[in-house]
Amino acid sequence: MIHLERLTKDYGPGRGLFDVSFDVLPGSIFGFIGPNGAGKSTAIRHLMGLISPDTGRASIGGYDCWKQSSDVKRLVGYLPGEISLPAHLTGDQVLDLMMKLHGASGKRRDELLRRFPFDTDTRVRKMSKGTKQKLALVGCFMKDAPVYLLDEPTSGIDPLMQERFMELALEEKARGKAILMSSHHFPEMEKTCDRAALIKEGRIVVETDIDELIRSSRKQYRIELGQDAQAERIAQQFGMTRHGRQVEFITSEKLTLNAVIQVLAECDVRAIHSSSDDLEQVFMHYYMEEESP
Amino acid sequence: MMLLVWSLFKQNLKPILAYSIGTSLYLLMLAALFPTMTQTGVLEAKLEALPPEMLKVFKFDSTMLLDSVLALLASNYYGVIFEFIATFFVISLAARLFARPIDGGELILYLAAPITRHRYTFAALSTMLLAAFIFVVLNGVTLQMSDWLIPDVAIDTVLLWRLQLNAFALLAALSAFTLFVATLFDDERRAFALSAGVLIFSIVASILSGLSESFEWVKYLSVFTLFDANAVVKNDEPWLSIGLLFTISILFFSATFVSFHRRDLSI
Repeated sequence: MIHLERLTKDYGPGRGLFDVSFDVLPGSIFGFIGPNGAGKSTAIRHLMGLISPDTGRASIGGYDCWKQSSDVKRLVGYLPGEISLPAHLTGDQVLDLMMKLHGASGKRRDELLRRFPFDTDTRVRKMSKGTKQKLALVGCFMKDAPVYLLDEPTSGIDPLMQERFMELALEEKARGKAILMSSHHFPEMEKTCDRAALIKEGRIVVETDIDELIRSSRKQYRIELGQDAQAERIAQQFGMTRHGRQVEFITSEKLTLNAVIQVLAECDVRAIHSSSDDLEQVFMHYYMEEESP
Repeated sequence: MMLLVWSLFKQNLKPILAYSIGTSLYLLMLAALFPTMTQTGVLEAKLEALPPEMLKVFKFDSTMLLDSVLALLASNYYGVIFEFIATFFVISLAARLFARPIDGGELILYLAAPITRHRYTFAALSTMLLAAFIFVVLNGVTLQMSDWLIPDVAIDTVLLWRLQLNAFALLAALSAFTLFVATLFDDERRAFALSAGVLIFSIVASILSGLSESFEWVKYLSVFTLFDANAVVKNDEPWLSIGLLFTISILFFSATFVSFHRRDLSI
C-alpha cells in the first residue's frame, strides 16, 4: 500500500534521504525509528507530496506521491510531527474545518473525542502541547482512511492517552489499515509494530520484523550480591565489570542470561536490575556504538 | 473550492475590514470637512503655508484647483498615503495567506486534505482579490453616500468609480507581486523584507520623480506611477494604466502558481 523505492533527496552530506526503500502492507504497522534529523519526517513529507525526490519514487495505493498528491491524500490520514494549527480557532472549529476538507463523519469524531477527551471550546493558542496532540490525533483518525502516516503520534501526551493510542492503532491495523509510524516511544513501537526500519543519516541501517529486531537486542543487567567475594568471583568468571558488590554485564551470544542465572543460584543475590526496553537497546546499539571512536 | 475560499476569507476578515473601514472613515471625515474647509479658506491657507517640496511629496498638483472633494482626495489620500496603506494591506494579507502558514507549518491543515496546490493558490488569490474589491468598494460607497447625504459635497460618480477601478487594479498588481514573493521563502521575515523593500523603493521612486525634473525618469521604476489619481480626476482616462496593472497581476499570479507548485515544503 505504501511503497518507497530507492528514494533519494540529497540536502548535503548525511542530510536528506539516500536510497531508501520499504513497503507497508495493508493490516500492518511499520515503525520508523531514528534520532532527530535522521530523515524520518523527510520520508513522510515525500509520502504527503510536500517534497519532490531527486531520484526514486514514493507511492501510496499505486499513486505517485509527488505527481498525484491529491489522489494520494484522499487515501491518507496524516499526523504531522509538529502540530501547527491556526491559533485563533477553537478545537471545534479546527475539527469542523477538517471534517469539511476531508469529508469525515461526525460519528467517528464523537467516538474519538470520547477516547481522547479535551475541551473543544478552547482556542488552539491556549492549548497545552498534549491537548494540541490530542486534537491532531482526533483530526487525523476522524478520516476513516486506508492509510495513516503518523509522525511521533504520542509526543507530549500522558501515559493513559498513550495506552489509548496504542489500542486505537491496533484496532485500525485489525481493520486492514496500513500504518507508518515514526516514534521515539519504544514501548509503543514494540507493542504495535509488525516491522521496523532504523534510519541513520538518511540511510536505512536495518529493516526487519519487530520480533527479530528485539531478539537481536543485547540487554544490560546490574546484579547486587551479598558478599564482595561472590561479586569478585562472578566478575572474573564472566568478564563482567565490578563496582564493590555490584556486577554489570551485557548479554551476547557467549554471555547469556541463562548461564549467569545458573551461577547466581548458588549466590546471595540482593537485587537484579535490567536495562530499559529491548527496542531502546537496539536503538542505542546502532546509534551510540557507531558514534563512538 | 468555495469552502476553501470562504475559510481563508473568514480567517482574514478582521484585517480586511480594519483596513477597509478605517480608510473609509478617513474619506468620510475629509468629505464631511470639505465644505467648511473651502468656505473658510482653511485649505488654501494650509497649502500656502506648506513648503512646495512637501506638497510634491504628498502629490498635491499645483496646476489643479482643489474645487471638489475628489480633487482634494486625489492630492491627499490617493497620493503617498494610499501608496503606504496599499503596501501594508497587501503585505499583511500575503503573509497571512502564504508566508506565515508556510513558515509556521499551518498550511498543512489544508495540504493534508485532498487539495492540490493549484487549488490552494487559486483560493489565496481569490481571497486577495476579494479583499481588494471590498476595500475599494467600501471606500467608493462611503464617498458616494457622503455625496448623497452631506450638503455641498458634489462628487462626480463616473470619476469616483474610475478612481476606484484604478485603485483596485493597483491593489491586484501589488497582491500578485506579494503573493509571488510569499511563495519563494520558508521564512516569513525574508518574504516580508523582499516585498516591503521593493514596494517602499517604488514609493520612494514615485516621490523622487515629483521632486525634480531631473529625477522624472525614476517614475518608470515605480508601479505606483500607474495610479495617477490627479490625472483621473482631471478626466484623463486611465485605461492604459489599468490594462498594464492587470497585465502585471496576471504575470505575477501565473508566476505564483508555477513557484508554489514546484517548490518543496518543509511543513
